[in-house]
Amino acid sequence: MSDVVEKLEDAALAVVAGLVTVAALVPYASIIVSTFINGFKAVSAVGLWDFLTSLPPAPGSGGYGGVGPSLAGTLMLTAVSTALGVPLSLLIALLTTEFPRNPFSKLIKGLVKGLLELPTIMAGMVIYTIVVIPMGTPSVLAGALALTVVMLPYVTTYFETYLGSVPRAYREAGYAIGLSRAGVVWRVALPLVKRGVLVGSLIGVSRALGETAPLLFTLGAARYYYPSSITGPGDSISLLIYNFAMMPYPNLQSVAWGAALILLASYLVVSLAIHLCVRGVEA
Amino acid sequence: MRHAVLIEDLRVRLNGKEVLKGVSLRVPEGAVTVILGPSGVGKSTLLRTINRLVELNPDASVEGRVEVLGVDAYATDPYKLRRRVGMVFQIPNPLPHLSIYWNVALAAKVCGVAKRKDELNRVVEWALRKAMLWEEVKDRLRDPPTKLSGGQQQRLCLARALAMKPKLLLLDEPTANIDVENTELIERALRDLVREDGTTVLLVTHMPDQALRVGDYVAVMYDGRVVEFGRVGEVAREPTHPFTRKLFSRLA
Repeated sequence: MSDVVEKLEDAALAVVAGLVTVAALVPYASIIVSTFINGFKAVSAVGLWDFLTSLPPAPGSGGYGGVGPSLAGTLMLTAVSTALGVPLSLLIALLTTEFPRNPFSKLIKGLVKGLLELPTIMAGMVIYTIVVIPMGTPSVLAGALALTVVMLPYVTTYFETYLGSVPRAYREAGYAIGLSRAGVVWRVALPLVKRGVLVGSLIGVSRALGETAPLLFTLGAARYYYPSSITGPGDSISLLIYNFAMMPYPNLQSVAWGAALILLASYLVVSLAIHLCVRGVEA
Repeated sequence: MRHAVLIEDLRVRLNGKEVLKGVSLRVPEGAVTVILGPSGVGKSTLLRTINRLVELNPDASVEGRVEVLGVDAYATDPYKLRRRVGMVFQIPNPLPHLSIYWNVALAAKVCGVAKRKDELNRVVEWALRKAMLWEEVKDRLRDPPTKLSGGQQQRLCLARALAMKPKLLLLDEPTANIDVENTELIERALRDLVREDGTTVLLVTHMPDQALRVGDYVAVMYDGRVVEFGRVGEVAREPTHPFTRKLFSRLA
């Protein structure tokens, strides 16, 4: 008798677990499938190369177009914010792991932890106040700075974890042969975590690719011409999706779907790269 | 007799606990001195106080006089001090991201023993020969040290310390984690170093038989102090402290 009850319980558990899994997967799959179907329509209407390089269609023109300036903007934003954010994060992580008791280092650590809680739109507002207003124009640089603020705490925390995991025995080996503190960082700690540094950098890249809110006030949404310099206005794929998806013009909505497909594909590439690196990271 | 290390009334606190409670010790030059004692008595801390590795613990406080190779250890630059003193740890710790060759060569380079490639090659070979490892690794110097056995890794660590051409070599239970054959090789290497190069060796161990095999002098530690010091044979024959008596009676 109790055997039957147990079997029923097991079956019920399996059914519930199955239903919950399906419930979680359905929206996930529907996002991917609808992005793929709608995005593919938009991209194939003009061809992949033209979609990636040409200008978006005029609102209400009914024509198709591409996301060239926005893609260029996203590439510039990602490059600049990663180039700023990764070295800065590494320096902060080195400071807080090498001098954990220094009051300045504790203060920085606290600030970085605080940034983790900061709503990303606030990062945009802060950069608007201290960069956009003085410069008199939104710009790729301002957008990149806002993205740097957003990625900094994530990348720093990741670097800190890795640097903190360098076994004491290896640090001591370095000190015992007469290396200075800087020597131990340079010759022992950093080489041991270099894959971790690479993964942290890619995590920074993936944040920079997809963030929208920090760019609302800082970037300028200039998507009908290519950005001429980083001090001038620009656009990003994410911002284009946000704006075009809410437009009452089907042709712009379609471009938004195509842009979403591009974003999804670039995420796939970055997470694949992270995955490949993580496999090689020695814990 | 000249001394490589002179310690007077050394008191070391770690995380609020007094580990060394007034150690005094003179380590004779050009001989093997063995520090014997039970676990947790402060043997390792004593070694780490000599090359100031103890300071890597921010809660460590050191009082007393420590003179190493004629220099007041705590009035000099710790990095310069460590470049004159080799150290081998209890658990083999070759750097896994460097090749066998560079584990040894880096030490020579940092300490200014060799700069040019041919000089480095010579020092690396010399150190690996001294550590009884050359024949086993000469054809795979570019391999990572992780491909070596534990005992080979420990001899690599010995070679790394020797590449510094140190006048003083500190060893913290170097054979506690390795097999008998490797232990014999390391013990032989230590004897040769003293005989051929006049190196001063300070070896921490908890094995009295090892003290008898390799030691010239022995310092017995108990409860944070050195309670007995003398030539190994004499101390083993006529121990004065109860702990020393117990230690050597087991061997008889």
